[in-house]
Amino acid sequence: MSASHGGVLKHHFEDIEQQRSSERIGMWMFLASEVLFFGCVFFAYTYYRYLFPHEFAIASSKLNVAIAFINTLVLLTSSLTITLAIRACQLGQRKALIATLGATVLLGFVFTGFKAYEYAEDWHEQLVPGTRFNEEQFRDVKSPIDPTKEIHVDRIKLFFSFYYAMTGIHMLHLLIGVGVVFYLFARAVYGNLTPERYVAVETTSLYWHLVDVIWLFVMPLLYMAGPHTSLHF
Amino acid sequence: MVDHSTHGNSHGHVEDNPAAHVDNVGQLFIIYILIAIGTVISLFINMSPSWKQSSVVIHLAISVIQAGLVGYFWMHLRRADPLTWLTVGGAIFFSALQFILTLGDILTRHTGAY
Amino acid sequence: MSVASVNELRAVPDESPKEVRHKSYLEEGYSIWSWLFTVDHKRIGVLYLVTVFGFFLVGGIAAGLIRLNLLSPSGAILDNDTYNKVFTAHGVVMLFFFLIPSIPGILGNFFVPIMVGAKDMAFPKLNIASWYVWMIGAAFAVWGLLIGGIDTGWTLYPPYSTRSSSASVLPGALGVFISGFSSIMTGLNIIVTIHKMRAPGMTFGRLPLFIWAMYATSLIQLLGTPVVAMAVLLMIIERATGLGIFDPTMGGDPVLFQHLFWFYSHPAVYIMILPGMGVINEVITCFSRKNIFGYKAVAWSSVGIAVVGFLVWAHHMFVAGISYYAALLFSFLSMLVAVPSAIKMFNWTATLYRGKITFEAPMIFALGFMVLFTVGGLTGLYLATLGTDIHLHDTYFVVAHFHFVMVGGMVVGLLAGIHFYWPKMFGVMYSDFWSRFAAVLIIVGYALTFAPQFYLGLHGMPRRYPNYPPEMRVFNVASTAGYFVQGVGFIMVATYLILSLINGKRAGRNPWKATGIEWATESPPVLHNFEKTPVVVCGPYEYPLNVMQTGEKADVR
Ligand SMILES: [Cu+2]
Repeated sequence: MSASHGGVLKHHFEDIEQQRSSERIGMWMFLASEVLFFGCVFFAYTYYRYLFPHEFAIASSKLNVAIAFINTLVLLTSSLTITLAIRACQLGQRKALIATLGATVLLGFVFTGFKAYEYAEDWHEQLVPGTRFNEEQFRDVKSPIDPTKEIHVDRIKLFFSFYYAMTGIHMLHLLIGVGVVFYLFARAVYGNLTPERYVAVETTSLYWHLVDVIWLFVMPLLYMAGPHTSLHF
Repeated sequence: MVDHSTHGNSHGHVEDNPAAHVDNVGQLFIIYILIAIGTVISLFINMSPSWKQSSVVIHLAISVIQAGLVGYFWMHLRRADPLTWLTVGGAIFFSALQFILTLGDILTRHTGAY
Repeated sequence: MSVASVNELRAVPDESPKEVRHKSYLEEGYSIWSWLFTVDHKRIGVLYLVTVFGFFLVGGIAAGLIRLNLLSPSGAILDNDTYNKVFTAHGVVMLFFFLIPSIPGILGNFFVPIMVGAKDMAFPKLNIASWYVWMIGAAFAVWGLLIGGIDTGWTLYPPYSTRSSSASVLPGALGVFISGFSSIMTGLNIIVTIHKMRAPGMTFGRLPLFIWAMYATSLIQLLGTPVVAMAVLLMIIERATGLGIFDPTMGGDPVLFQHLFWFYSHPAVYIMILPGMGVINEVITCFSRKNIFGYKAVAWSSVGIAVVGFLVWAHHMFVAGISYYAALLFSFLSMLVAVPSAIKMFNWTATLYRGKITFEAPMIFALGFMVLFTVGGLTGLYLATLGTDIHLHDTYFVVAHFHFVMVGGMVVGLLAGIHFYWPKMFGVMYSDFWSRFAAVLIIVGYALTFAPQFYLGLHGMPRRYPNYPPEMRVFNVASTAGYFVQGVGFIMVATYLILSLINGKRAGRNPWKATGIEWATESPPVLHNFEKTPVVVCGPYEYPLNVMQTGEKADVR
């Protein structure tokens, strides 16, 4: 049997569909694990936001929502391209496969670039608690929810702790994804990613989509906890 | 429970067709546009002068819909087997447990006997 | 998996098994690299066997230091700081590097594929990767313990862990964080294997109950471990950067860490006990020659424990300042988890009823498990009860309770499993007399070590203290004596097991005349477990019919 699939079927599986469904469900279960992993930090964030809504709104307004918005679209587009890559792989369209995987890698880097730019901006604005944080800039800021509330700078720092932790862990996941997609891209260029092996693209795309979905929650929670009045870079 | 079982024991050669289920490109693009529209709406709500603390509910509702679209169409939940649905349901269920039970503590603290 | 008709299954030609002796997995290669780069689940199981017991030795030595120190009311051998570090070392090593990977790592890796009739795990490379990840985590933890020690207790509560003076919390916490991923990998691999790799005829209703228990365990590993990983990661971030995520002076809430930590760490005690329970099913049925009483009840109670186990965690926090109402709720839910555990216990007892019971070493361990686990489980109800927990919290009562469950349950369960499966794993038999003797000695030693601690706790001796009032000395000395009785037992186990590898007599395929599918293959098994894909015709415990899962007679070979 193994010979009939050009060495795609691994020795311990009986047939190719068993192998494919195992790999698919294996990835899904890993994603379930990831949901709990991120769920934990989302919960911690929710808790503190419930306790300190005023400080979180003030801090969130300091973030650059324009970059977050563009990054959302970038990530969304990359999710589209990797889904197209599955199709290209299944149909054996090698050029389309190389193009879509390459685009996915590229968009991953674009996202990372924008994020790095944003981190640099935060650094210049002295918004990095523990290392470089200017408390003065929050001295006379009023809560957009209730201007009469007293503001504690420590809680603003708490928001930024979560901002760096959550976006940082998300970006780490994204970079791992970029690495895997690049590996697929190299295989596609080399001609190794034949239609029988499309599950490799599919499972990678599942992971990529999850990273995308997490960002879809990170963005409103972190960047839209406070109002923004203008888009700027 | 697994689709391969229908021919798992037949000794004849099983024809493998990787292109048995391919996505419709038009459909993928429609989903893409829908999700992008959701993000634009989110941004407008955030920037509108009538921003309120409670707009987080709308934001999260949009995110849930977007995640649902990604999961159902792009991650192919629409043709997934029950085990995959169970996995997704399990992840959401146990995450929800953590939120609900811990919030059960936090929201009732500093009241009653204490 | 589909089930072929019984007639078709019976048509499998009955070839005589003794003609060709295939190379066993042990003979596939002898170099160190053939072990370190293996993807064979059986060899990975053996790698876990060696390393897990290495950590058991380390943790056991730390336990000895604790017990020796408590020989005298003012602390016999250690100063207070060192005492803190020693009990933390004991906790961290025993929990994260012994109990959690023990049965899943050793017996799970070795026997899950065999017992579902597969050639290997679904993801063999992930499997070996999990061992390496675990070793990397272990290296970090050992490094942390060596360069200064961790003195926070294994729970790593902030602000101890974030603001304490000891410098080596970071490597220790990183070790816990990294080894968690190994646990996730193993769990994922086992679940996918059980779902996708079953042999023809191996329906869910015919799975050995050990597999059901491993399934439930893996569920917890998969869904619980990421939460503690994130909690520890946030703690690491706080410690490394000086941010205030859990620091009350900076707006944080230390109780939040406890919530996140125990969301995993309570279910984690079921990672530690469920596989032990799984082994007990196999042993009890075999040595009483009976079918399991209530297969479905036992199988689903495993899943029930896994799910209900996620609802109870805050019973560790009744005195940590959680809300009154939440404490009530969690107290109630904690008692709920006694139900599936009791179902198992009753079913095992019913299985023993009127069985042809013989007392080989695995059976002695299994019976010991039932006694010790019952004591441990019932005393758990005292701790789940809100009112009594206020008194018993953080006393030796808690220590005695969880040692009865973890040590009396899991370690005894592990030993039962090792003794039961040793002939299958290595193809040799150990000394019958010495193994029975050691089994009795270890069980008596456990009881002697931990029973006095119930009394100590009830009378208010706090855990983690290096000293105690002189009136309590006699109980502490008894406890220390029990430690040494166990110690002798363990040395005996190690000795006759190692000797059996050198000159033990060949075990044959099925030394216990057991009916599970794993006994239908060679001992030790060949590289791909079975000469050809087995076909399963019945459930795993057809002892009254004397029929193996493959349809052969159980007492033929
Ligand atoms: Cu508990």
